[in-house]
Amino acid sequence: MNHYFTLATDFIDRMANPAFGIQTNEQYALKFAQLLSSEGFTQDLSNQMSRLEKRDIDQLSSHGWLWVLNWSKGNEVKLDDELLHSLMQKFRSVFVQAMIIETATLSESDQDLGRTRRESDGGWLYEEIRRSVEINLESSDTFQDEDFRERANRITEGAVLRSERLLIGLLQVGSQRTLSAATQLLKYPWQGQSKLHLIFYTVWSEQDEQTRSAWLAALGIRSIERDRFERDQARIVFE
Amino acid sequence: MLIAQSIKSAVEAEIQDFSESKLDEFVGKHGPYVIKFVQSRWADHYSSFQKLKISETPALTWGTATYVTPLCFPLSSAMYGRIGLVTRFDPKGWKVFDCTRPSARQAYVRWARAQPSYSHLLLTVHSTFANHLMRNQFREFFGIDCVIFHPDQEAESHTDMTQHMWLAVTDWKTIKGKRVIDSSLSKRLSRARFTVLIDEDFRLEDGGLPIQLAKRQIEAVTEVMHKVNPMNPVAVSQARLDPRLPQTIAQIYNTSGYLHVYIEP
Repeated sequence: MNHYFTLATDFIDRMANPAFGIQTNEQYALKFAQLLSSEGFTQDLSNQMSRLEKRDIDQLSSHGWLWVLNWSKGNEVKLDDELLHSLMQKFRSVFVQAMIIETATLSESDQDLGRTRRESDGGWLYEEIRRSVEINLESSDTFQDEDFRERANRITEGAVLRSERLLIGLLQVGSQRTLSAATQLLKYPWQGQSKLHLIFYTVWSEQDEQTRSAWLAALGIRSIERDRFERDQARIVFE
Repeated sequence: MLIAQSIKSAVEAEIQDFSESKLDEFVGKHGPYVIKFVQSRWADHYSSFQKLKISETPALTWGTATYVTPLCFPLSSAMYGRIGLVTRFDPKGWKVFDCTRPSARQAYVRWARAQPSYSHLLLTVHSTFANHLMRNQFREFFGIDCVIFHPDQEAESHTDMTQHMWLAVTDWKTIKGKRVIDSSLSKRLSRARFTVLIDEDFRLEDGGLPIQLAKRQIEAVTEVMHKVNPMNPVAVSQARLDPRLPQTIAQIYNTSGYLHVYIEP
């Protein structure tokens, strides 16, 4: 447990949580500004932040974590990979997920930039893709009487939702690296792939013509269309 | 970023160089100064030149930025505190997005609508934070140094929502070759000093939500009381030493009016 953040959590919340009101947010931001002016504070805080672990996830409120993500992005603090994966689990909002993705990818090393990672390369984004589509029937011991097929469907639906959020988050960040990861996610063979393709088709088809073309070019997609016979499926042809 | 060239061009057409923008007019009229009101406790800290803190709270209109008012609207943002901090700034070369123009607002809306997460923005309960992130992303992508916008909160008799303009000024940091919005201390608004003291006090919230129109809490009352029984204001240093002060106060209490004890220079 990180005691530094145990002490700081109320302060950070008052600075970052709009529920306290602008006046309180600004008052604490100004107090924080005084700390920033003191020698060594920025470095100390960054060091403490880089030591945060998965088990610290309940140390901060939602707004506290958002503030930590923003700080780490602006101060080149490499947050622990497992912590970032756990934050992806904790926050279901695509906007927060986009922020986590941006933080995770900004802190990856420069040599990875612009490169499409293969499975064997590992990497945070690839691992997140793998986790989002993971269907673990063993992990669910509830609904004992449930038919196996129903249980499998329910768990697959959960994975489809996770992968949808991840896909939108990757597209929203819109960097070369995250767009490449979005392509990988769409190509990833798994039980929910056709549902994810349909979701992508739906979001894509809502855009104007030029934006649709921009999406296809950025994602390396040659064509996309709704299946003529199976209306609940979309066919994607990659370059 | 995944947007059509036509949307990108529409936004870019709305981004002006400082010299073509309203900001240049403001600077031309009253010099390169802006003002920001803060709470009384910061009077001492800003008694000498200091950097302004960049605001990060999602509750503010245009994302992470330093929110200030051009000096041509000197009391427009007085609802945020009694201490007016004034700073010089140098906006030469800034890219300005003037959201007081309907065409600029429309360009932003068009851009937002083309975002992959747009439907989530409309359907989520976390829209304050979602909008905050989206506006940061927008400003970062187009490299916008300053957004001009009409106030969306109003202090009675001080703010004119249709005529006044406030600024959200961006500070930048470069991280691994990418320019990102800074959230620490503003280097662009870095010579802020306590310059104005105002008597009035405003409420900023109404039932837990940001207030739309903040009434004057003091002036509206003193106006009426002064008419009934006009009293000369008294300097606080004089009042402290006045042996007759208790008597004066009791007398005012038993008749009408009020005593204004002010801080003299």
